[in-house]
Amino acid sequence: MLKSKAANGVGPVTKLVDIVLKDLKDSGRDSKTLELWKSITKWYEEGGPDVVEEGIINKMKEIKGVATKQLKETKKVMPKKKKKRKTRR
Amino acid sequence: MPRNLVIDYITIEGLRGFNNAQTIELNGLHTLIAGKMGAGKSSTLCAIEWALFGDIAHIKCSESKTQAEFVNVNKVDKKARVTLKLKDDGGEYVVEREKDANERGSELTFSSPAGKFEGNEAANQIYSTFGTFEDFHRSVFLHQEAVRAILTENPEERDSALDRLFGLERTRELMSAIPVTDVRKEYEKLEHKKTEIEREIKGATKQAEKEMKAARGEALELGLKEEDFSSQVCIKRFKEIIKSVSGAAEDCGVEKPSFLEPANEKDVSKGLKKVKEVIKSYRMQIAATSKLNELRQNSRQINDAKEKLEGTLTNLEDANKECERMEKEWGTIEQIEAQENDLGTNDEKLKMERESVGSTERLIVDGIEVLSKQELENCPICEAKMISQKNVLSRLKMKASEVLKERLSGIDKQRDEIREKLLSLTDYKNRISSTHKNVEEIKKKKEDAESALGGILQSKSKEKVLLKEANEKSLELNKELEKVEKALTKKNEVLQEIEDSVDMCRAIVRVLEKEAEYDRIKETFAEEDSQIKILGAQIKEMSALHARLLRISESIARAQINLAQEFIGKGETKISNYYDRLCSHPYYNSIRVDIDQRNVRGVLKNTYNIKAFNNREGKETLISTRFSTGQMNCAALSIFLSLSSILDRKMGFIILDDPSQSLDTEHKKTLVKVLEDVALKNQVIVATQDTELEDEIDGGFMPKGGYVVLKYEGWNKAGPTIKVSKKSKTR
Repeated sequence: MLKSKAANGVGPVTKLVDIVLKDLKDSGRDSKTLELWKSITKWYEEGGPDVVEEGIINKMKEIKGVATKQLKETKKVMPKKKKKRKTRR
Repeated sequence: MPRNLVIDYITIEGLRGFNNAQTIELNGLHTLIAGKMGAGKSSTLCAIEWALFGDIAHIKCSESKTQAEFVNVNKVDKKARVTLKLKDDGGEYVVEREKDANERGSELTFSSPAGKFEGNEAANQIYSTFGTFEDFHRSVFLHQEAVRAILTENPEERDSALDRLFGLERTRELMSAIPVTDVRKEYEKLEHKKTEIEREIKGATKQAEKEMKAARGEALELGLKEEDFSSQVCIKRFKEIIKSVSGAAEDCGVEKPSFLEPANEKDVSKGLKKVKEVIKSYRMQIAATSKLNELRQNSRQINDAKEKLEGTLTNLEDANKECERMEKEWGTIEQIEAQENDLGTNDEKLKMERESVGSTERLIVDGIEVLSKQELENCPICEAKMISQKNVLSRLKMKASEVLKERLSGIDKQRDEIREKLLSLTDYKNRISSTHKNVEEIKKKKEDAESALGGILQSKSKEKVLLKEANEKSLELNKELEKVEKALTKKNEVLQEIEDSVDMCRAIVRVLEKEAEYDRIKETFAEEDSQIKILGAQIKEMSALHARLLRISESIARAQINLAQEFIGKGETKISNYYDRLCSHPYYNSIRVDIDQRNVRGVLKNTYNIKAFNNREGKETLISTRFSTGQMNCAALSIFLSLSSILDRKMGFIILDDPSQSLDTEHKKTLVKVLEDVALKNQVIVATQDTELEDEIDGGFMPKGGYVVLKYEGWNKAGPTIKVSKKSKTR
């Protein structure tokens, strides 16, 4: 017997997918939003809520990773702060 | 009428309460599953759900992603297997699912008239044949937990249970899984960091600009001009300094220092440091080699000795004068001593006179005493007739006493004067003696001072002659000192000039350094600007992700409420009908479900208010606050049964797990009648632990074709003991 991938997840939520997709299209959302929704439903059907969360967190980490790297690079070239002399009492 | 899919049989092995394989044959008939709590009834119903969807609602295996809890703990091979056979007019459908407790997911095969499928293909075939998990809960399987949650006091749990009843549990779950708040927080965090960096860069630029201006100001104060602030001028000036240092080295008689050829202001800065050190060493060298200190020391020695001698000579003169004055006023010590002797002799004489007066007094007193013992007629002195001897003698005694006392007083006075004078003379003598001693001491000091000065000057002269020689020597030294000092000042002036040039050159270097630093920061800032733009783009992307998720969440929320409204709208009349039949409330004859949405930790969730109405009098109430749990159960059953009757579903069976919770006998009777109606179009499968309901079914449930009774009589490690019987009583 083959392992059912869907068995790890929840199976299709077709009606919801279609309704949300229609709602997004009707409200003029961009293609990236539609793609994201498709990814979310795919993750959900394949692995349930954990996989959805994981998928979005990964996307977030991807962006954050680039941003954090950029932050580090920026900090490297920042002028060093001058140490203030401690006043002796 | 063709029937939809019904259950033919189910074989369960290793799932929940089942250990050994058991086949339960329903043959598409209505089924009553009866037995005590924990006998395995719910496990049987869940096996149907699990076989179809690989999941069991209400059992959250959050701690274990492998869902190992589904597998019986006593199963030796740690595997659960379920075979479910369904049939309809079109053919037979067999679902086989197997799960290893140690692995995620399960293995699935599905056989249908269309063929045999495995894995995901099998799952997809099941969904298209039987409908989805949501459909199953909306219209096929009413879990006892779903009913129980509707009866709770907690509105959040109740809303969740009603979502489940409407088949929106997954939608709710999906909504909660979208971490909109986390993404927003990350986006805000990045935005904050960016702002911080921008502020830091601006601060550093300002600081560098301030320092550059200060360096310029200082350089201009030193007399430098704007055109001097260049690398060429800086190097040129430094080379001149090196030349001057070489000249100074010659003057000071030291070796010329070597300097590297400067290429830029950085080299100049290093070179200037070296120049400063060299100049410092030159100063020390000059000080060490010049006679200045020796001359100064000699001059100081002579002057000190000279001053000392002059002082002692003055002191000696003063002391001699004082001595002369004293002797002139009080006489010499010998003269004073002679006076003392004279005064001593006089005092001795007066002492003797006093003693004599004393003797006379005693003689007179004794004589008068003798006379008083005799009887005298005439005075013994003037021989005049005495009237009273006693009075005369008394007067005589008194008179004599007065005379003698006067005399004694005079002697004492004289002696006091002598004593006073003697004291003064002793004082004079001491003072003169002390002055003499002082003169002697000064004389000794004078000799010492003469000896010291004579030693320095190598002269045997004394007093004024010696002082004259000292003055001459001092003058000579001063002249020489002046000459040496002049030469030294000239050298120091040269060095000072070099140092001034160094300071100016350093000021130029500082200006150039500060300008370079400012330019570098400006340049970096320009570079940063682009880097910050990249960072900004990332932040924008994060913001866009947040916005998209927010829009998706909003859409899901809308879909959620629309779906619930759609189901309720479709089944509104039926819900009220079922409610009226099942509940038969004495006052409220219909119910309505109102839906709203509320924000729970950033997620919009459906919230339900089930209201009961008295249509005749137009009164309404919230069932959660007014109704008993039994009446609430009736409301839940009404919603489920109406949805199962109105929704287009492919399964021809209905599963009710413990539907008589909190119902009284009358309501149970009504429930059996309602089930009989439902059984006209569905294969009804009811599980109960309620013996009263069992009896009511036994007596009142008479569907066409009869029904199967599965009596769960007990449970052991092998699984439940099931007794199967068939009831064929029909109306």
